[in-house]
Amino acid sequence: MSTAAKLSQEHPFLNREVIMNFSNGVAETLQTMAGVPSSFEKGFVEKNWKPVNEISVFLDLKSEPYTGQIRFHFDRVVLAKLFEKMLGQTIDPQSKEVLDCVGEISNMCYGYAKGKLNEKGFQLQMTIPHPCPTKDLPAAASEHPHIIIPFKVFDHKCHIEIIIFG
Amino acid sequence: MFKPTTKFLIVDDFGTMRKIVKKALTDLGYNNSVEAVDGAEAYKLLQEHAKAGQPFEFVISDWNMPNMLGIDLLKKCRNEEPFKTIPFMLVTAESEQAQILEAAKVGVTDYVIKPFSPAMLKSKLENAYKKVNGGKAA
Repeated sequence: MSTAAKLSQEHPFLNREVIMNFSNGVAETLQTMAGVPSSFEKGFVEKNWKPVNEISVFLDLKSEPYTGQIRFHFDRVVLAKLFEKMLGQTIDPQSKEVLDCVGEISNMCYGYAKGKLNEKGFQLQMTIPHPCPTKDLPAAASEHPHIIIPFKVFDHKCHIEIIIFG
Repeated sequence: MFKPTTKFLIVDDFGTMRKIVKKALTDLGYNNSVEAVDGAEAYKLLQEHAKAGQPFEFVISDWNMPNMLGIDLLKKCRNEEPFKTIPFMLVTAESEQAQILEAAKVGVTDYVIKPFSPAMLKSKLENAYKKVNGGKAA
């Protein structure tokens, strides 16, 4: 059961537009680059949420004076299948190529959302994706609110996670 | 369109995107491409290949990379012979007007916004061909 965090409704990242544009970024990227549909579930806010997927990528979220982090979580087999759909080549789901693949996917998802949100007055800055096995993710302090948006690709549940630092 | 032997330099810090661009080029009949992982390596390769008498004829570069951004590589090229007129396409997730204007001001030949389809890349290459050949299609 989710523990609803106490959130300031004023925080610009706690905005329907933010959630919608990051979700649309994922859907658009996977559809355009790999011809793969994705289906989204309702997002929720939880303080102590822990990612359950195998591979993650995080990008800093900065829109002065606000900071946070966006993370995308996938299973290895999903990334290997996406790679195959994009390039027509099979890769070992255990290989390092899944990390490179998730890095580029997150780059496109972030770029899509950044473009749309900055048109609406956000000032999101450029950032570099940091892909890694989920177990190696830097710890996200539990006092920060996490917005979780689950979505399905190839029948596997993946997640977008937005962490609000301040 | 450009000759099938056109020599491309593909610049991106992610191997997946370099492979996607390379595959799209191969599917269009272009089999002569070299990859670089960032702007700094790309600039070095541009100089080396020019010095060896086998210069690159087209650069396709990501914008957001460590070491040297794609826009900075473009600026360096536009300020130095023999790269001043090399066709240069930015493949970027940056779709904002300010970025597009900055690239246009520096002299980008064209840009592709990620995510993109192979058909989009083909269309952009056709536009680039027309641009570098004074509006004439092949």
